[in-house]
Amino acid sequence: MTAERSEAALLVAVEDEPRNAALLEAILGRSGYRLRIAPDLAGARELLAETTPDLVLLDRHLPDGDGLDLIPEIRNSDRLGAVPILLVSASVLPRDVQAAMDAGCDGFLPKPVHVKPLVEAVRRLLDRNAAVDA
Amino acid sequence: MTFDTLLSISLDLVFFAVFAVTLVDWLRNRGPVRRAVVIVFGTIALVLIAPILRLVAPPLAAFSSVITIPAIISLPLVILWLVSYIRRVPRSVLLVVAAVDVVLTASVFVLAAQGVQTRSSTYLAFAFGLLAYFLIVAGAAAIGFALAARERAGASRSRLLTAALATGLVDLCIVVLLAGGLTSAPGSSGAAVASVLGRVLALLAAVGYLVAFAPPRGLRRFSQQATLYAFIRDLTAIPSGSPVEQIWELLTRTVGRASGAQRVEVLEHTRTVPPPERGTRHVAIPFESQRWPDGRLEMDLPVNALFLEDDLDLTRLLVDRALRAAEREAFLVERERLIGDLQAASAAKSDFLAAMSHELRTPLNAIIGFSELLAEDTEAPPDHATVTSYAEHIHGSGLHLLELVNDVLDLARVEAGRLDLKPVPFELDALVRLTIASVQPLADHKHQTVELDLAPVVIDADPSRVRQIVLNLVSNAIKFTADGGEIRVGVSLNGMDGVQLAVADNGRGIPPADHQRIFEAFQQGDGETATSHHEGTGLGLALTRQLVDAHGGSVGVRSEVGVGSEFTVQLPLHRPVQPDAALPPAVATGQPTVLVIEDDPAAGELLRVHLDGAGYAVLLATTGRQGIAWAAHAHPNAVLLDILLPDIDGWEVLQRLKADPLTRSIPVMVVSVVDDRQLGLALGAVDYFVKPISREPLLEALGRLTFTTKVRTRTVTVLVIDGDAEAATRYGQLLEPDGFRVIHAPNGAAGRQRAVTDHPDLILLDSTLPDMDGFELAAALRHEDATSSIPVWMTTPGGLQSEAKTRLNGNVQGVLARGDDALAAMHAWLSRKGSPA
Repeated sequence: MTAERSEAALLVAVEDEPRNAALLEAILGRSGYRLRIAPDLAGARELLAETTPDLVLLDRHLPDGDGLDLIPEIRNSDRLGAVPILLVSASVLPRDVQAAMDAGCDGFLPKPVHVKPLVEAVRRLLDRNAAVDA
Repeated sequence: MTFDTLLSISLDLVFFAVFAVTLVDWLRNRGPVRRAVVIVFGTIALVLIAPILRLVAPPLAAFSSVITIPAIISLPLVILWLVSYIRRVPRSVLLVVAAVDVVLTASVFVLAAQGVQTRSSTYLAFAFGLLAYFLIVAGAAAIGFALAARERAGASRSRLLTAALATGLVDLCIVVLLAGGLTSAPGSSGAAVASVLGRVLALLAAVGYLVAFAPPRGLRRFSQQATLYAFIRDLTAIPSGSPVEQIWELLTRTVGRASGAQRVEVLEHTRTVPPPERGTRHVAIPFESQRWPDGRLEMDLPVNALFLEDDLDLTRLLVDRALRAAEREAFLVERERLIGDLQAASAAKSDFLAAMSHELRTPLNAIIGFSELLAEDTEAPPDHATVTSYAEHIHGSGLHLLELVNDVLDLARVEAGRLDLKPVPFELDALVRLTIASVQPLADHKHQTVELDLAPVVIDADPSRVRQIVLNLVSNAIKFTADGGEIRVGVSLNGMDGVQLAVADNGRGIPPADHQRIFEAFQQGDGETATSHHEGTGLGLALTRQLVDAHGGSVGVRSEVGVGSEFTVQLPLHRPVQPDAALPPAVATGQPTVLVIEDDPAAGELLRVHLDGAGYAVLLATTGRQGIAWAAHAHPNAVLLDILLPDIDGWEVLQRLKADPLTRSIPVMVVSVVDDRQLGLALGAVDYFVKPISREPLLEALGRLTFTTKVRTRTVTVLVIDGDAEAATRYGQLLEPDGFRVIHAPNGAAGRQRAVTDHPDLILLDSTLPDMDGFELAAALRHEDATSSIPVWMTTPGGLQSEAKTRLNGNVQGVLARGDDALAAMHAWLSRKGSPA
């Protein structure tokens, strides 16, 4: 059941830099996930209004604001509240990581990301959520 | 001799001792007030001297009254006169009192001559009149002192009060003496008591005047200490970290109170002050402080200030204390500010590093991610199109990374002031057109139109840097403007000597709060939002501003959110003239100076390090023209000359230096990659080094040219080797007055001998000697260990031809043609290197 669900899992990535968005597409697409990209906060809000993804990949420095601002909006929504959030950011100073954790994300991957840890982190968060759901 | 007589005499002696102190004080420090005090004392002394005269020389006693009576009657007048130095006493009052004085004195003698009875009514009336005169005039004088005391403060006040008291005592003393004389018969016990009492009072009065007008050192110090302690207490009460003005305020208040000055002011820096008011004098106490070298305390004191030296002494002590406290305060305040600055700088550095880390990681993310995908060992290898796309992403990110690194380096270079601008005249409009053409594809991709409005302008600037400026502004405009937007680029003349470059777009605009910030590193506006979504590095505008600044221009922005932005760059038409290019920078005096003419900064720096370490002051000129100008101006002890120079080559520099009488005598050593020793020596160089050079031979050669350090410590010996005996005499006449020692050798063999035995500091060698050729001897001296380090100047009948110069082969340091002004030039050269004086 878990495996089937993982293969069909829908991910939303908020990433403004086209090459990095392409990289996420390449890595996660190859692992069989469906991926939709939002280039900024406004795009992410639009996308999340119409879909309920299984996981959100979030960048921080976006053209229209800080990606962390999106976290409470997701957490406060009944529909999206339980969606795991994986932060993927180039802001890696201790204070940045602390801010990310305090904001309530479920995982943090520093840029530059490596293929394996990214795939594993995504799978782990999806499995955990599936277990909670079940 | 009775007891009371003894007592009287002892009291008199004490009084005379006090008088002597006052007299000595006046002799040491002449002044009108002191003179008046001495006269007051003298008058009292004359009164007291009569009984002593009577005792030691009875025959003289009869005459004593001739002195005593005028003296005693004049006493109030003299005291009033003393008051007039301290407080204004109307002249008429003084004249009236003087007239009364004369009348009374004359009356006494008239009465005595008529033999008026001591008990007669005439006598009594006169005596009471005299008493009244004393009481009124001396009383007025006492009141005058007291009033003067009220107007002053501090030590002056207590001293004037003491004077008032002393005057009162004089008054009392006269009354007692007169009353004693009137009521008691001479020789009675009453008269004796009156006499002793009068003397005690006179003595007390004298001590009072002494304290008031000529206080002994200890007393003076005591009163100063009291003021000083109070001042220090108040200083300590000022909280730490207060502005120094608070200390100045306390100082001026204290000085004003202690000295009675009309105006007291602390001036931290020199500035003109209003002329003193009438009746005041201007006194300035300079600060002895490195922090305020021109600082001083200024006061306007009354012209007839009473205790000027004492007041100034005290003021100096107060100023000294205040300065120490102020320096400490200023230091503390400065330290706080420095700490603040350092913290801000440290925070800025942290922010920069954080931003830098973020910027580097963004392209690295794609590079590492895609390359991992490519390297992955999978069962189904990616198809060719996928590989190409991955490789394209990696390549693009790599380029971005490179751009970032270059921008950081440029910025660091500019901030360290090491940006090498190479200004040339070029057509700005053409450069802008070419630059736009290179980014046109980017604009086309976003369906943007780029409009050009370029006036033909030639400017004097570094074209590669101007291109960078244009590129940054235009690519920003393309980046921040939506698809289909419009970009306008204009070049126009701006006034007489400026040109304006404007890049405008109808993009999303910049909020006013960010108009300044965008020119700082890693800021692209939008508050929190940094740069990951743009291809830009976040350094572009910071770099642009720095480049424009380096050209002596300015950059500005006008923008409205949602409407668009316009960036304008103002550049000067001509390159900013370096004002000091013609004048060399100042160098330390007392060290031999070496002018290095070298355009390669690294090579120049290397020479500077070598020379610095060996105790030479170094002037580093980067062009031939600059080198020639500096050589004429600074008269260095030696010139190190590169041959490959940007403007005129080293050969020409060498020829010009040797052609100019001002610079002809400066020894030139060529240091170049060009290996043409023959040509260098023929043109007049004293030595020739081919790069790369090592430190030791260079310093050794320079050491032969400059011997300043030796000259300072002992007599300089000059050996003249010349067949003509008169030559030595001529040199001696020229050099010996300046402390040089001149020795002579009549031929080459003797010269060589003396060079070894006397080890002179300089050899003047004639080119033609009776027994050998001067050139040969020069070479021999150079190759002998004992003499190789002695500089040799060659004297010749005329100038040397090129081939003769090559024969010198670096063995001599200069050539003097006899009969021209070269002798004087050599004298100047020697003296400049450090005469024994």
